[in-house]
Amino acid sequence: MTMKRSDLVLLNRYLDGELPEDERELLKRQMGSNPALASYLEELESLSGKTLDLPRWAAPPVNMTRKPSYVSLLTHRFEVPVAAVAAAALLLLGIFLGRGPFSGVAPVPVPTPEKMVVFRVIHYSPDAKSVSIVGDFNNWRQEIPLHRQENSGYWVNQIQLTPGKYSYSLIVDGNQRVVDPTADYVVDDDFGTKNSVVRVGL
Amino acid sequence: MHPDEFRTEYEKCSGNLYSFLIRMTGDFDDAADVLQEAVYRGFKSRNRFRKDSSFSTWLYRIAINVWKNQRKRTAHKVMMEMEQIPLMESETNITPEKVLSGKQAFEDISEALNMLDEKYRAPFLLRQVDGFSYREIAEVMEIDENAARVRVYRARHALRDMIGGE
Repeated sequence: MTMKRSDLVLLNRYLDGELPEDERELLKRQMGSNPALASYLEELESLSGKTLDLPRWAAPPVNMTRKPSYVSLLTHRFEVPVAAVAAAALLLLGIFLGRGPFSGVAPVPVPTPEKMVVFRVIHYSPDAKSVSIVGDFNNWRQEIPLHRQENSGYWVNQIQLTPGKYSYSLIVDGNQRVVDPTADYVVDDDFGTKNSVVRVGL
Repeated sequence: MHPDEFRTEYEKCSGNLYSFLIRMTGDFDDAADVLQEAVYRGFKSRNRFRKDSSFSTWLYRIAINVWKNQRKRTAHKVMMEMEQIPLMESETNITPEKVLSGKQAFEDISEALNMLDEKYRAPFLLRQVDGFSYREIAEVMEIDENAARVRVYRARHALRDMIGGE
């Protein structure tokens, strides 16, 4: 289906809420007499809806003052284990300085990057209109939406976390805090409600 | 900018930025690396942040530049490896760039997004997922506002075609 460039621009501006009232009314009248135009807008609106359902992830912890280690970037590309590179470098340095395995002085261990672990959240709530999760993995700030599995009452998402213990709460329809029945255990918070706790990667 | 203010502003956009980087890099580890470097650079230069743009716009711009630099390093290595592989006669027309051939219907928008050229994928994500204005997208991508608008429109058109449109 080919469309006029001017129509495409109008439809996009309409989708972005940028059309003034009179132009919106004009476009609606045009769509009434041009089903292809109306159908195209419907598809764009459907696309917008789908993008809102895309999963989101909580950011891993970052160190604002530590210079990034490019070892992880380099070794990832060259597929050389970090430990092997570090051990080889230490051995060479040790030999040069007269230390290392032959001198009885133990090399300093090189920290390896922490592996992220996937925390899969699943909640059954067939009558809900929305379900989200919030917890100490994101400082209880941003609610991460769960996505309804088609034709079921299950809501799911997955979050990348460093191994640890996390408190969280599920929020149904924007205002009901519920405990996750699949959590490892439940604790009282400081506000008279209960939080779910999960151990990830432990 | 006070370190605590930087931290507070960062936490407001950290999840969105990380999710954006995952969709641009296609890899959780790469996205985490880019995020770490972007935050480090942002923190180091926090006193240069001018409050005439938003914090998230400024940090996203840093992150995109970090990602582009990282990509150049990787692409150079990939090209060097490709040159070392002897080509069969039948493969002489194959290029390392991603090619979207013919009409492919994708049910999953994530798959369709992966097929979209990065030049269009980034502004589309910034607009549709992260809610940036066209002016903000232009600042993040370092292009003019009209170019930002055109790229988003083209991305929508391409995605609509890929997800079963005619």
